[in-house]
Amino acid sequence: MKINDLAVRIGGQAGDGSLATGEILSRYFRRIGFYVATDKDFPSRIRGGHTSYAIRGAQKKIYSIGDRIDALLSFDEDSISLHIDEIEPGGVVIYDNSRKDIEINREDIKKIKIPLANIARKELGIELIKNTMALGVISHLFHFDEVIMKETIKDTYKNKSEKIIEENLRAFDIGVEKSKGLPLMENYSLQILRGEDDTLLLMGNEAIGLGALAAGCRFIAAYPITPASDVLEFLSKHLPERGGVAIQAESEIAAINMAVGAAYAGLRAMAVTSGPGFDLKTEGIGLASMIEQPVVILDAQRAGPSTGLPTKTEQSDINHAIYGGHGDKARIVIAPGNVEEAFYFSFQAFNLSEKFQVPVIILSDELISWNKQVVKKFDLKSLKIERGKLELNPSDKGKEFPRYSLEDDGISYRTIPGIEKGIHLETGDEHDIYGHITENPVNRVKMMEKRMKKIELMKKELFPSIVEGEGEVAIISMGSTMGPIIEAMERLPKNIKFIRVRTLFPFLDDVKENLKDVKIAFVVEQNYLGQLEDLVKLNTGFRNTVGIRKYDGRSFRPGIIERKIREVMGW
Amino acid sequence: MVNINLYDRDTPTWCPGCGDYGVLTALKRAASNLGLDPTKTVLVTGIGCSSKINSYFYSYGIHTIHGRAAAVATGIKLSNPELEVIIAGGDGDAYAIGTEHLVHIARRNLDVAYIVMNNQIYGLTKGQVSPTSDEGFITITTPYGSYEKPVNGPLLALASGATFVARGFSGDPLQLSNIIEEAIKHKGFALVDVLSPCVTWNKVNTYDWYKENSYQLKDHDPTDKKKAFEILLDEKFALGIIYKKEEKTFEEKVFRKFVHSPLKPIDVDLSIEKIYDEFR
Repeated sequence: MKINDLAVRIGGQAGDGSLATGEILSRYFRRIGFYVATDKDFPSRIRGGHTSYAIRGAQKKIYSIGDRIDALLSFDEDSISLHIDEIEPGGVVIYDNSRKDIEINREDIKKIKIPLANIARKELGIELIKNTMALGVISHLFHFDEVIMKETIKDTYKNKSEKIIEENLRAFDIGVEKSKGLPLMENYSLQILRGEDDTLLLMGNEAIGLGALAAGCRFIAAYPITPASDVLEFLSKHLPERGGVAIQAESEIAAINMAVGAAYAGLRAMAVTSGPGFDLKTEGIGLASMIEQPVVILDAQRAGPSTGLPTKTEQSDINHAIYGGHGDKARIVIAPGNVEEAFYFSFQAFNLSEKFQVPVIILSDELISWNKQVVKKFDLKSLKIERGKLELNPSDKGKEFPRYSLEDDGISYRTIPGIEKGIHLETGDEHDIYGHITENPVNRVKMMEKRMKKIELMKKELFPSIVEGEGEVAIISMGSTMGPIIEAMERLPKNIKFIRVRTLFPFLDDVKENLKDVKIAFVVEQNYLGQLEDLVKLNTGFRNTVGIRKYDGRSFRPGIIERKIREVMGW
Repeated sequence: MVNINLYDRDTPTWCPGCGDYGVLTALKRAASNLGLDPTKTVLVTGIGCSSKINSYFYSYGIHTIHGRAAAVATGIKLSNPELEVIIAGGDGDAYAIGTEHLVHIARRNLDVAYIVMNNQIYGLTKGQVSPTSDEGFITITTPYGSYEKPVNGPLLALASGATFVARGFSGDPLQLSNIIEEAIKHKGFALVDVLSPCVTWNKVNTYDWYKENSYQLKDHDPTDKKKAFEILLDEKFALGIIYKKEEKTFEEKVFRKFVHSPLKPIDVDLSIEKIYDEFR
C-alpha cells in the first residue's frame, strides 16, 4: 500500500498539452494539502518532439520527483519507449491508442488503453481536450476527490470563457465515465489533508519575481532566454501597475547596462539570464563592481557550454558566476536550493546589493527555476528593506559629493542623480573619492583595498550552509540537488551529514567548520568538472572528497546518489 | 540662462586643438542658455577621448563602458524621467562597438540627446581605423588603406526612427551650441553628429578638410523626412538640423499610470499578496 505519495508522468508530443494537464494535477495536489515537486522535460522547439512533465504530490515535504513514477499517462509512442521502465511495479500506464495501437511489455503493472483523442473528438468535437479527459481517468483510478478536482479545473481556467470551462468539466466527467469498469488502483491511498488554505504553488522563477517585487525592485531589463524569461514575463505584467519598468532589451549586454543605469539612478534593478547571456553580461557586472552600484542578476543555469542543451538543467556556471570577468572584483553569489528560498534570496539580494554596493548574482538552476513546489505563503512581516549607506538627503559636502569616500568598512556613502547636494562622477576607470579618473598608484591601492575590504565584511551577513544530520560521512551540494539527496539519505543505512552550501562567493568559513569531524565527503553536483568540489577543496583544505556528478541535462534521482554512496562505502 | 562658468569642472586633458574643446564649449553654452540644473542633469558617456567630457562638465556624470552609454542612459532615464539625460561619446562608441544601442534607442524615441564626436579615427588607442573612416584611409591598422565603407551614423539613426537628426562642426561652436540646445529641448531621441577633428592622429580629415567638405543647410524643412534622407546621402556633410518631428516618447508610452520615483524611500511591497491568486 502506498499512502499519500503519488508520482505521475504525462508524456506526449509538444502541443499535446502535457504541461497543461500537469499544471492542473499539481494544483489539485496543493488543494488536498500535499507538497509538490515537478520536473519538465521538453525539447527546444515550439511544436512536435516528445515532451513530458512529471508531477509528484506527497504528504511529506518533497523537492524531487523521486526515482520512479506510479502512473504514466502517454499520448504518444515515445512516452512508452522512454518511460515505461520508470513505472513502479504495481503502477499503471494509461495509453491513448487513438493514433496507433502498440504492444506494452510490462507484466507487473496495470495497462490501460483508451482512445482518449477519438472520444474527445466524437463527444466534444475538440481533440485537445483529451487531456482533461485523461484527468478524469486518473481521478477515477486513484480515487481522487472529484469535487476538488473540478474546483481545480474551474480555477485553472478562470480567465477563459464560460464555454471553455464547461467543456473541460464535461471532458473530465466523460473521462470518469469511460473509466468505470477499469481496474482501480486499490494499492494507493491519497487522503484529503487540506486544512487552512495558506500555501502557494509556484516555480522558482515566479518566486524570484515575487521576491523582487516585495523588495521594491522597480526595474528589470532582460533579453529572452530559457530558462529565465519567466521572470521578465512575470514582472512585465506586475511592474507597470507599481510605477516600475520591465524592458525587453535589444541584447543581453544592453539589459545589464540598463539595469546598472537604473541602479545608478536609484531604483532597485535586476537583470535575468542564463549562462549564454551571463557570458555577455560579465563586462556590465564588472562595471557595477567598479562603480559600486547595487544590481541583482539571476543566472538560471542550463546545460552548456555555448547553446548547450537550452531546455535542460545543469550546474556548470559556478566558476563563471564567481570568477567571470576581468580584474579583482567584489560581488556576491548565492544559490537557493528550493522555491521558498528562491523568494527569500531574491528579496535579500536587493538588500545585500545596496548594503555592500555590489552586484549580487542569484545562481539558480533550471530545476529550481521551473520546478513547481508548494510553499507557505511568504512571511512578509519578517522582511525589512535595508538600503545601507544610501543618502537621499545628504548634507553639503562641497561642490562634489565624495561618492567613494574612504570609510573604515570600505563602504562609502552613496547618492543618486536628482539630489541637490550629491553631484559626483562615476567611472569604470580607477577614480578618486569624487569619482574622478586618476592613475595615481597611491590612490589605486587605497581604492582597490576599499572595494576588496567589503568581501570580508559581507561574509557576516550571507547565508550559511544548511546542515542536516551528523556523521563522519558527509554530502555536500548546492542548489536543486537537495531534493534527491534528502531522499537518498533516508534510504542509506548509516548517519550522514548533509551540508548544503548556499553562498558561493565569498565562500564562508562555516563549511570548513562543518567538515571538522568528517572523514569522507561526497560532493553532488550537475556538471562534469566538479566545480563545487574544487571550490570546497580550495576553501576548506578538505581533501577526501568523492564526486557524484551528472551532466546529461536531466535532474538527479535519489537512487543514483544512494547507489554511488553504497558502492564507495561498501554499505 | 545661467552663468556658463557653473558648468566648469576639471581642465580637459585633450590635445591642444582637439575638436572636442569646441563641443565642450558648445555644450556649456547650450546648458547655460537652457538653464540646465546640474543636479538634475546626467551626462552619460562611453569610452574614448570624447567620452571624458563629463570630467570637464559639471553635473552628475557617469563614464561607462565602451559602446554602452546609450544602454546605461536608457536605464537612467526610465528610472527617473525627470532627469535631463545627455549621452556623449565618439564614433567608435556610437557607430562600431555600440551600434546596436543606437538603433534601439532611436526606435524607442527615448527623450535623450546623443552627441557623437566624430573624428573618423580612434584617438585614445592611438590612431586605428574607425567605423567612419573613408574607404582607402591609411592608418596603423589599415596600412594598405581601409577596405570598408564608412558608417553613415545620422542616416542610420534616421532610418531607425530618430525624431531629431542634426550635424554640427566643432569648428563652429556657436552653431553647434544652437543645435545642441535644440537637441536637448527636443522631446524624443535626438542624435547630433559632430565633425570633431582629431589633430593628432587624423591628418586627412582636418578643420580645413571639413570646411571644404561641408555646407550649411539653407531653406530646409526639417519635417521633410524624404528630403532628410537625401541630404544624409550627400557626398558632402550638411550642417544644421536635418530632421525634426514630435512623436510620443518611450517614457510617455511606458508610464501609463505613474512613475515610481527613486528619490522616495521604499517599503516592503505587501501588495504582492494580491498576486497570490495566480498560484492557487
